[in-house]
Amino acid sequence: MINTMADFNSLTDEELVEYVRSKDQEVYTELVKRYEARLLRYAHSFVHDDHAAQDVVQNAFIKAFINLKGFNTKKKFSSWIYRIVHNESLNELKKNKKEFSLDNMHESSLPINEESLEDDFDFQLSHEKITSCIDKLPIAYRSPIILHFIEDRSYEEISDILRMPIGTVGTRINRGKRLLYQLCNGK
Amino acid sequence: MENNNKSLAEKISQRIHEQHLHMRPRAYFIAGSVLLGAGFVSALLVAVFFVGVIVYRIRVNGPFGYLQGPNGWAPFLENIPWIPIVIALIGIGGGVLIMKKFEFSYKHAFLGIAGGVIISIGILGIVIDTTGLPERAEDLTPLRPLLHSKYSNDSWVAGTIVWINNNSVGVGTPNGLSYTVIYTANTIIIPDTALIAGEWVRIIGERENDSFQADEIMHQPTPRRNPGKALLNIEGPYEQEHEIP
Repeated sequence: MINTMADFNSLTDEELVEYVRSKDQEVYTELVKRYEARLLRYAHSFVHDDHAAQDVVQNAFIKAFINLKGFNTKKKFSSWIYRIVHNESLNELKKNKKEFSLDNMHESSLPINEESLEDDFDFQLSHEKITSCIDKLPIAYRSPIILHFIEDRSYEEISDILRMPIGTVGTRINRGKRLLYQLCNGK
Repeated sequence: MENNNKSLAEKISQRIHEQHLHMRPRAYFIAGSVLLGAGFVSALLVAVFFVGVIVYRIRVNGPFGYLQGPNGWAPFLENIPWIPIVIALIGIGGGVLIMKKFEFSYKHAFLGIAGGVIISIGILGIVIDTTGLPERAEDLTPLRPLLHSKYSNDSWVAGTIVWINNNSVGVGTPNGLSYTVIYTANTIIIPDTALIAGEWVRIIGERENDSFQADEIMHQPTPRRNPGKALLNIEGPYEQEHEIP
C-alpha cells in the first residue's frame, strides 16, 4: 500500500501515472511537483512572461489530466508532458501574436543548468549572454537547443516532443549551435 | 491574492475539483484510434478507386488525343475527368493529413513516407483499372456520372467512321449517336492520310443538328477496352453513301 510521499518517490513517472489512473487521482499533484519547475522554465523560453508561463503550464497539466488514460505508459511521461507544454506555448504565442521582445526576457528567476551548453561551446561567454542569444534563435532551432542543453533531453526524447525524426533533431541542434555562435559573437 | 500564494500543484488540484474535471475514459481513446485508422484506410480506398477511374476515363475518352490538333484545348479540358481528380486529391490529402497523426510519421522522414503512399496509390489505381472494376461499375446508377463517357458535344465528336462519301463521312459513337461529318479542302487532317471506314477518329468543328462541319479530323487508335467489355468502335460491315441507322 503506497501512502506516503517517500513511497511515491520510489515510483517512476509512468508507475505514478498508472497509480493516478487506477487508484488515487489526488496523487496527480505529485507528478505536477516533479515537473513544474522544468516546464515553467521551458514555457518561459517561449512566452517570456512568468504569469503567461504559469498559465501555459497549468493548462497543460489540466489537459494532461483529462487525457491521462490516453497516455501509453510504455512511453516516457516526460516527453508527453513536454509535448503538451510545447503545443500550449505555441498556441499562446499564436493567440497573442506576441513579438519576441528583448526587453524583459531575462527576468526569470528560475534556475537554469547552463553547464552542458557552456561546456559544449569552445568559447567562454557569460550565462546571461548565452541565454540572451538563445532567445534570439528562431523557434525551429531554439526548441531543440533548449531541450537538449538546458532541459537535458536526449535526441530521442526531443524527437518525441517536437515530433520530428531524430536526424532532423541532430541537424537542428547543430545548425542552432552555429547560429548561436554567430549571434553570441555578433557575426 | 490568496490564489497567487498557492503552489502550481495546489492551483491545478483546485481547478480539477472546482470545475469537476474528469479523466476521459479509455474507451474514448480506443474509439479515437479506431476511427483514425478507419479514416486513413477509407481515404486511401477512395483515392485508389478514383485514381482507377481517372486512368479509365483517360484511357477511354483519350483527352490527350485532341491536343494533336491546333484547336484541341477546349475538348481536351472538357474530357479531363475533373470530378474524379478532385475526389482522388481529397482522398490523398485526407489520407496524408490523417497519416501525420500516427506516431510512425515523425519517426521517419514524412515526405518520404507520404511520397511512398502517393506512388502506391497511383500504382494501385492503375491495377484497379486493369482489373476492369471501373468498367463494371460503369452501369451502376450512382457512379454513372463519374464513369459514363461522353463521345460528342457541340464542337467535337469521337467515334468510328461507318461510311465514307466524297466530302463527308458518317461517324458513329459508342453510345449510339451518329453524325454526318462534312469536310472541305480547308479541313486539317492529322496525319494527312486518307480516311478509312472502320477507323477511330476525333473531330473538332461545329455541330448543326446531326451534321458536323469539320475543322480538324484526327486519325486515332481505338481506345482500349478491358477483356469482356464491348469494344468502343462500331463493328462493320461499313457502308458507303448511307448513314448508319
